[in-house]
Amino acid sequence: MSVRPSRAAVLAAIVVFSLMLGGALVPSVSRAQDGEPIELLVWDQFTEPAESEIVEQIYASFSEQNPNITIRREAIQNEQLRQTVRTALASGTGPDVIFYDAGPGYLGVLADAGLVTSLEPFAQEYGWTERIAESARLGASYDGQLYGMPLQVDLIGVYVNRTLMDQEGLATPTTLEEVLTFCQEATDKGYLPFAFANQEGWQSFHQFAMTANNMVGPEAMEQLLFENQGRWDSPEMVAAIDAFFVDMRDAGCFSPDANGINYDDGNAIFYGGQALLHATGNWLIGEITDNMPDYELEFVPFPALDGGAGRFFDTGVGSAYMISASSPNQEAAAQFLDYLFSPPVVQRWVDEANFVVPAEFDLEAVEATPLQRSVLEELASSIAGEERLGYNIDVLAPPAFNDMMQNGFQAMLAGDKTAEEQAADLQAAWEEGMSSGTPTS
Amino acid sequence: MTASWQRSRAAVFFVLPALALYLVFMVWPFLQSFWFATTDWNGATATKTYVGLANFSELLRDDLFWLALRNNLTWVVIGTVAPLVIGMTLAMLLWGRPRGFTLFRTVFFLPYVLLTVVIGIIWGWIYNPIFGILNKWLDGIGLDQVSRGWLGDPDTALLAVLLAAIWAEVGFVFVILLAGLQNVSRDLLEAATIDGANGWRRFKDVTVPQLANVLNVITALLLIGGFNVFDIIFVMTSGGPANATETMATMTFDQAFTQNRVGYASAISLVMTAISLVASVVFLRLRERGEG
Repeated sequence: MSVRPSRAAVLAAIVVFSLMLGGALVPSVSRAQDGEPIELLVWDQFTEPAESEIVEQIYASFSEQNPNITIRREAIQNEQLRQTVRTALASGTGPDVIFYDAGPGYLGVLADAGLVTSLEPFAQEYGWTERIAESARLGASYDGQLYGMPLQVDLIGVYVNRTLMDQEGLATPTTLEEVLTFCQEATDKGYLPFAFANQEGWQSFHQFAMTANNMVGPEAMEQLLFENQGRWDSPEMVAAIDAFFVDMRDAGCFSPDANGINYDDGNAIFYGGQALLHATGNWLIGEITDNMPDYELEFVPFPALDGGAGRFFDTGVGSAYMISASSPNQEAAAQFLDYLFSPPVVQRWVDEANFVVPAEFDLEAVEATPLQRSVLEELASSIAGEERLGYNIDVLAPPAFNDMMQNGFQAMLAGDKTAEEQAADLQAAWEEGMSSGTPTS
Repeated sequence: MTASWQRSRAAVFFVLPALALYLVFMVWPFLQSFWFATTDWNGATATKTYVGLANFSELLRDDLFWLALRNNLTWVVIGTVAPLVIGMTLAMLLWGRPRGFTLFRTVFFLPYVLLTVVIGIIWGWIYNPIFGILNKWLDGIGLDQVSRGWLGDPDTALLAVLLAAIWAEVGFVFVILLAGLQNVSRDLLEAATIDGANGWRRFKDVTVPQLANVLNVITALLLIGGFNVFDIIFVMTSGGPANATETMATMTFDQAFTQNRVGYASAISLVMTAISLVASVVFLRLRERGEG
């Protein structure tokens, strides 16, 4: 028996296919014009349910105020976003607005390829320059142009379990020498001194950022990161690497199996009171607050190193909102960004989502735990220019450099590499990355 | 118009959608990767600068590539032999349908139906240096000196991931071989027994030759899988620590999506394809020659 589709069925299929093709070729919304209905496709990374709900509400409130603009939101995990964003934007049919990593290996690549639009004209038009902290704008810029609106800045330091420290009669170490003594004392009392876990490898970026900034100081770090003035293989940098990855390793300041423990398990050690200190970022405050209701906690800068510049918290921009260069709705997208960074919405981000937005907000009006408030105060004073912060290195470094940090520091923890070798490899990776353009200058 | 032509036309009509998908999502990207491999494309820019064979010559000088290739070869050898030996042993044990046959068959096959992510998580827990059952067990029997962060130690990470992969793979090999054993002639085995052949001789000279086709297919699949292995490594170690579990596939992913070097990643993926293709063809030719 022969199977033969009817002519009508074939014609119907052709008509349907043609309509689909036509639909794909004709933009679903027209160019932004006053009053005309516009749909903005927004890709963000807020996949965590509580965060996602707040984001939905804020986007919805924008549409309520701008009835002609509908937000179609797609929340995508960071890893998936990194794999798809370049193709999506290059296709010309991707998102209008994207919340994506701000580093030169991410935002920089998109900007370099002309896939995201410079926000300079909008910054002038809407006054963003006055509203957003300069250091954060710098972190979301490429080749001197603002390409992203930074929603969150991170602060990296050391969480201290004050309750257990007091209970055991231990003082918070403020110098490397004190750290090494503290590690011995804490170990003798049955505690893990630091809840350091490095299976993923990125955690070591932050340990290095803390020791490096404390050694050379924020000014020298700024020169190195933004002007390429200085070297990663200098004796100071070797000492900074040595401090954490050799001295502290050998003093038993963290698990000898740190490379085999993932970030969540490391956090669990701290939450459970098995470790006394945890050197990581302010993004963990919410979880720490939820998981450690019976403990009093502090957030302090990493201890100073011998011959170093002092003790500094380190900061950096994680992700930022960008506008696709091929979006036909750039004005509407800018309007959307302006709304997200307007003072009342900034207050909502801080209040409801616990984000640290690099813009002015009313600190007194924020409902926060003492730990959260201390972090917000720290960042507020830095935004106001009252306090100098160090730089989180990986968000400003090229991918080859981050790769060398990740694998090189893991090798050091395993005892397979010296600080001098790692410093030399970091310098080589930096030069390789710089050959394709400085990140922000 | 003949009936056979009408039948062919209908067949073509039904094959077309699948063929179109295959051409668009398999053939075209594969052909494109030849072009990408000769450029320095970063995956984002509109222009792709032609660099000739520079990516391939860089590959030859890249220590990481040779490390990845060595890891692949380790994976191919151990990851092919171990599932075959274990799967064959289990299949032979259950061939005579002993008591509990259905239970054992289900238990042995179960790991294969688990998602790679699930396998990665389960074995991650087993290897965990804080609460992992492996270290607890070693401590319990007095081998606490051996305890370690198995996935965090560059000396053990590859073998630890490989063990998890073998555990998952054995079920597949076992079921296929068990099915193959159903076609092995009992008469020939009885004749060999009467001729005085011991158990090993019966297995080597009677059973295995009758399983040749099944073994060929399984070995070829394991070989190709060994050269292309990605998912379980990505889930368990992402190529770390210190590149200790890097393979050609994880390196390709890292170069394309983290280092923004799509051109270089394409060159690696082409070399990977060529190696697995050559290895499979050589293996099949050797088998054919052996059978001849």
